[in-house]
Amino acid sequence: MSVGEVKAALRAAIEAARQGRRVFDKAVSEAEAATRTANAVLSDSQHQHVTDTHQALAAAKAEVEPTRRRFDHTAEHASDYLTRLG
Amino acid sequence: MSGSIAELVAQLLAVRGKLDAAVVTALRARTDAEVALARLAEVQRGSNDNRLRAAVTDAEVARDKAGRYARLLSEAARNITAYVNTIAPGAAPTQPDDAASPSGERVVTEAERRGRRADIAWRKQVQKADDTEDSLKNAEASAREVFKFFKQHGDGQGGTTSGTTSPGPAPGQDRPHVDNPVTAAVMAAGALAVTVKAIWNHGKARRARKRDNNDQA
Repeated sequence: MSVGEVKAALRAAIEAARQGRRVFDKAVSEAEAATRTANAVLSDSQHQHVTDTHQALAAAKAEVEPTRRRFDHTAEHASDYLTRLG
Repeated sequence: MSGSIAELVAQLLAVRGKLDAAVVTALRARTDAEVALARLAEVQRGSNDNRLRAAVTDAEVARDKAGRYARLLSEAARNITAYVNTIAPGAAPTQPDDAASPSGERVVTEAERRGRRADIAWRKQVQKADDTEDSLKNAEASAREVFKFFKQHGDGQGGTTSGTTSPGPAPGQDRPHVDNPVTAAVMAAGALAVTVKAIWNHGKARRARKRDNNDQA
């Protein structure tokens, strides 16, 4: 792989990571809107399916920030390496 | 009372539709992470740089976490479907099992190929169902079944007292068989949108009729 090819691959990786972050943010806002409605509508039911729904949505919510960080760090670390190549 | 359950069902079906859309979007993000990872892995061959190694690890974790996020959302959607069918049997068409647990290379490949067009496909499906008289008729029939069920079970507004007639499942949508989980999920979302709309229309017409009757009384 020539230096030019390495740089091109790194730029493609950085762009994919940044796009992934934007797309993931879109998924999060869609899911958050659904979660708000679900919480409001299902607030007084103790049914197992309802409990499981809340649990799955809470577990999904817990993944949001760590996932965003990983997308951002992918782009940052790849950019650092690209800079180092000059 | 039946009205409030019908509203609850409509709201839950709308939530499920939104979650299905979010699953497809999250899978698109997963695909982006996969693309980033592939390019980084090419570069990494023959290099021992710490930053590059960190970038590869980050991309792997981003891919796995985006996939986990999609799976959790679809698990929530699956439970909502089950709950809707508990409070109003037959009101929520169930999706194929594998559509509810998007995992594995096949789904990711399909998401890559089709995911970017998923929003368009979703709108097209709704449009198609809107335009197709038969589909709409089916959806309206489903809505009528749901209302019939509410009337038979503790409606309290002149419902029957026999209460022994168990409601059959609502007539299914005339959907073509698809063995592609992503397509199935997208199509299910489209069919749902139409059903929800039909339930609302039916409820609206019913309330209007009731108002007319009250006016005449």
